[in-house]
Amino acid sequence: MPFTLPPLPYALDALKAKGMSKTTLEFHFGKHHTAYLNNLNGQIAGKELESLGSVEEVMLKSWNGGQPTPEFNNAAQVVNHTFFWESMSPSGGGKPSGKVAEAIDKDLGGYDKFVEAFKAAGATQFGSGWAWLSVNGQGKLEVSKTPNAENPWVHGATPILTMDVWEHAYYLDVQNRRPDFISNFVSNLIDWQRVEQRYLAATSK
Amino acid sequence: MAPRLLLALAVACLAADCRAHFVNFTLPTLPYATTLFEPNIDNATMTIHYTKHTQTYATKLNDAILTTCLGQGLALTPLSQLVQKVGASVPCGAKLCKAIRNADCEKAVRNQGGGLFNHGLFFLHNLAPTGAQDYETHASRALRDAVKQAFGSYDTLKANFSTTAAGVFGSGWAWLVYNPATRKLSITTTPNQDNPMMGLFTPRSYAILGLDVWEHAYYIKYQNRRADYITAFLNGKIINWQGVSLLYAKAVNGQYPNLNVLDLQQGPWRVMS
Repeated sequence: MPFTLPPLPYALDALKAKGMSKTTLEFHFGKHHTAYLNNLNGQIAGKELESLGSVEEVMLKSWNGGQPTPEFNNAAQVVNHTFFWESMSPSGGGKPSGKVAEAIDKDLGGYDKFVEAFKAAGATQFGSGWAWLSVNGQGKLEVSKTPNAENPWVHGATPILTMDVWEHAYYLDVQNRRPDFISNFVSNLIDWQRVEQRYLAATSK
Repeated sequence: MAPRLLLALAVACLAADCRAHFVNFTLPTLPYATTLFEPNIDNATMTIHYTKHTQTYATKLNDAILTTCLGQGLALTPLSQLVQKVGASVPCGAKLCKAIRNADCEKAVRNQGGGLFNHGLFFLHNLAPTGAQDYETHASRALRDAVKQAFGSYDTLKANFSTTAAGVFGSGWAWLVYNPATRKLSITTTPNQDNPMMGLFTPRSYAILGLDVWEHAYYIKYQNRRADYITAFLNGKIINWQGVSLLYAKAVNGQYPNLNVLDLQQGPWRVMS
């Protein structure tokens, strides 16, 4: 059965006041994310992968131990983008609290160090890719970056936050100024409540 | 060479030919108006692409040569040689060593040097005013014969190039290259700012026509519609076939490895004026 996209968690103009324009979301969600999904459905039609229960499963299977099959790019980008929308909120930004804040202190040396590392990850991912905050195999937080469609899931970690640094994520709003996009994301967009929920889920098993 | 002397040398590198050849690499003023390729490539994109993205590659490369790469003997190395050193091995003693031994330096040369070379080629050798050139009358006989030999026809070249450029996932380039090993043209791609002449690729090949498919190359006007951008590039009569022919000739006669992409005197814009 063809997969479908969950709707955007908020209206297309809901992040405007926080620095991400409606036009950006119209293209990013309506064109890019939708195209990854449509292309994936086209690729898996009539194949074994189609019978898997979720796009996540297709993604993990098509990663194929580091020799990804053609479906991987589309499947992973579907997953990555859904996760990205859910990493942001119209009431986002500010600082974390609760257990994830404690973990940021303990595992990453505090919020300021997290910000520095996360910003650097986003800024130094050359070409297309993503910056991540994940719970690793040892239950500790780590900041990482990945190229293109790759993500920490395929490496056995559990992301709790992501930031898209493909140029399509920011070009209409800030053009070449990726650092400005990154700063705005960190200061104004992160849904720390959601990140906290994900952290608790990732560390409760 | 002592760092102070190197710094003095770089700072003193003010003569035009020196600036184009090695650190501090300097972008020439674009030899045409940024509006020239409207509507195929828009003014805003041309401006930001050259004065921001391309300039940043130059700035970061210059910085890397004088800091991260200090001690690697790269300060007087022309850009084309820097590009070829990426991923290359050289004899050292009884074995082979990496041509650039510091990994951070090699990464900087790969990304920033590759970016500078690729964009220099694109902006200064591959673009011509809209309507000023078409393949039949401006591509050299030698190039047209090579295209026919490799692809059967110009239309097939365009179709293959289009499909290839559309299929690049993430950031990268599509290239029409000359392969010295086979003496034939072919189409290839590279990720990010890699260039087919880098030592990463064996055998190396020489890019005579490139299309940037990083999103920054087309997003302001085309957004997600990369296919439309590719069509505009191929059919908008903005390809500088004289320039491509010049590069082809240099590739065939062995001069390409010494090509100085930033030197306008070596490019088609001198010929065209």
